[in-house]
Amino acid sequence: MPDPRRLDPQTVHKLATDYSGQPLADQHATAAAAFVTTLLADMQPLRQMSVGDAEPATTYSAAEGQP
Amino acid sequence: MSDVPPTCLEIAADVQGKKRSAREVADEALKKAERSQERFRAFTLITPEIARRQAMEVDRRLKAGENLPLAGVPYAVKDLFDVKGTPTTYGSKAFADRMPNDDAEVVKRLTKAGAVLIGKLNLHECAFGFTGENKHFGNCRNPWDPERIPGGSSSGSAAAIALGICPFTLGSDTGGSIRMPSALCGTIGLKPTYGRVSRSGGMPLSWTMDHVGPLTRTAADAALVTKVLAGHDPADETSSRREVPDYPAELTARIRNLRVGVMHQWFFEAVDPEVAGAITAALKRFSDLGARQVEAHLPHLEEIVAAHRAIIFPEASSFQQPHLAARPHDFADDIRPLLHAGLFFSAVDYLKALRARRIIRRDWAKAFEGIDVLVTPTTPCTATKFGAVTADLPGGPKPLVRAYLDLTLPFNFTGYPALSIPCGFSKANLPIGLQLVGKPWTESVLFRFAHQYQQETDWHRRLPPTVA
Repeated sequence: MPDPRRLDPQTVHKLATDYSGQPLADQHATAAAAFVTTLLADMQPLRQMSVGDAEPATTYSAAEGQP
Repeated sequence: MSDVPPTCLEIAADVQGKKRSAREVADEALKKAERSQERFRAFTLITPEIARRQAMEVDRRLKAGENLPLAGVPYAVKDLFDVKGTPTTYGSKAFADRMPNDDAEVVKRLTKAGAVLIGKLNLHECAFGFTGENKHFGNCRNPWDPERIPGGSSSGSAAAIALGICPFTLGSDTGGSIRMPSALCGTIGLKPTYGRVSRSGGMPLSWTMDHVGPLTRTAADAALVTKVLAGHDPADETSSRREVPDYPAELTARIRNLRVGVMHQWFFEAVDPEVAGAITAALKRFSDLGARQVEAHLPHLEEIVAAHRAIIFPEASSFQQPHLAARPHDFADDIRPLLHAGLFFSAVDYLKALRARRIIRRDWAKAFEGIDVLVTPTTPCTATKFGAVTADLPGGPKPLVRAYLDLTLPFNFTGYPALSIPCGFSKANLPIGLQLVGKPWTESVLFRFAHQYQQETDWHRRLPPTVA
């Protein structure tokens, strides 16, 4: 059974082609799939973090005033 | 052994005092740049015509009685800042023919202050990497050991100073790209508070985390150059209207009783013993200067690493989309997957990162109530050889991207100012960097610590064997 957390090269190929308007070479799709799978696995701490009802922090106010 | 290259302050004093002309200083810097280029690839472009024209203009302005704080000081910029008449290549073939119509705001301010541009500096392609490898312009090499990486992405910015070509350069920093090469090449590098220095006229990697700052040999020079660079720019809507302090005037203010925070968890957990030893010795120096060492705790660091990725990849993909569509084959094979990666982060992840930023900002403000500066290693190890993918650290090998960026990227996410200073050498004669982190808008405190430390040490006066 395929690992649902694993991105397959075909998906990468399709999205990247839609996005860039150019076909993506197979070896590039494979490389991107492996890389992105690792990156997405790193998202868990963020996804599990409780942020309550906080709104997105805009960049300017992030450091402009005393938080 | 060669003499230590002159600082900005020394060059400006000589040129203002008519001991040397700006033209003579520029010619010397150009000669050094050209001499080192084949071996170290610090530059993407050396600009003798611009340098000589600007230098002659500086000599003319001085004769007319103008006061120029950087009179005749040669410098170079990372090749993602616009300079009219030169391509802004972004270190990529994809941008090789991008000709700007105007100078970046930071370049304008430096020109006005009398600095003389001698060239544009090599970088990791599209500023999206930390090794300084570049397939289009050649790998920038570490002046302390050409077989090793200089760090990146502001690789040429650090190498040019270590090579003694010019006393300051400009870099950009989205995850550590000023501080990390500074540490590996033995220079000073400042990532200011987000909003302190204009980003306008610089190519973006990640709008909400990009910072522009100087690299220098001394803290006094960093204070001088930052004073010139900082201040509101209407062209950058994130630029602050806060008054710019007189950083050079505050260098000698006392640090007695200021609190130096040390956080062993995260920042010292997997650090090479030689690096840890150098940081410990520097902390002792700060104590000798009267500072008080206290325990610090910054929460949410693992979440920050994730949030940093959830922001940098989508923002980079968003910016690069038309360029990838138009010239996909002009990006190097190792860069293209990075630019595609942002497609696979959901909008929910991106917004979660921005929401987390609000929580983390609040919690860090509390954590920083107990300290005036945080001291960490800039990197947990010295420069690795080209081709390495892991760093051998206590606890086992660590992927290079985590090893080199985990200690610096939290401050891009939060926008806090951070400065790397040289604090020692390994047995292999490779530089070690120490990172000072302050509360927002307290660059002057960082300069003060760094300057007073440099009065007590000579790490910044040492030259690479390739130069000496």
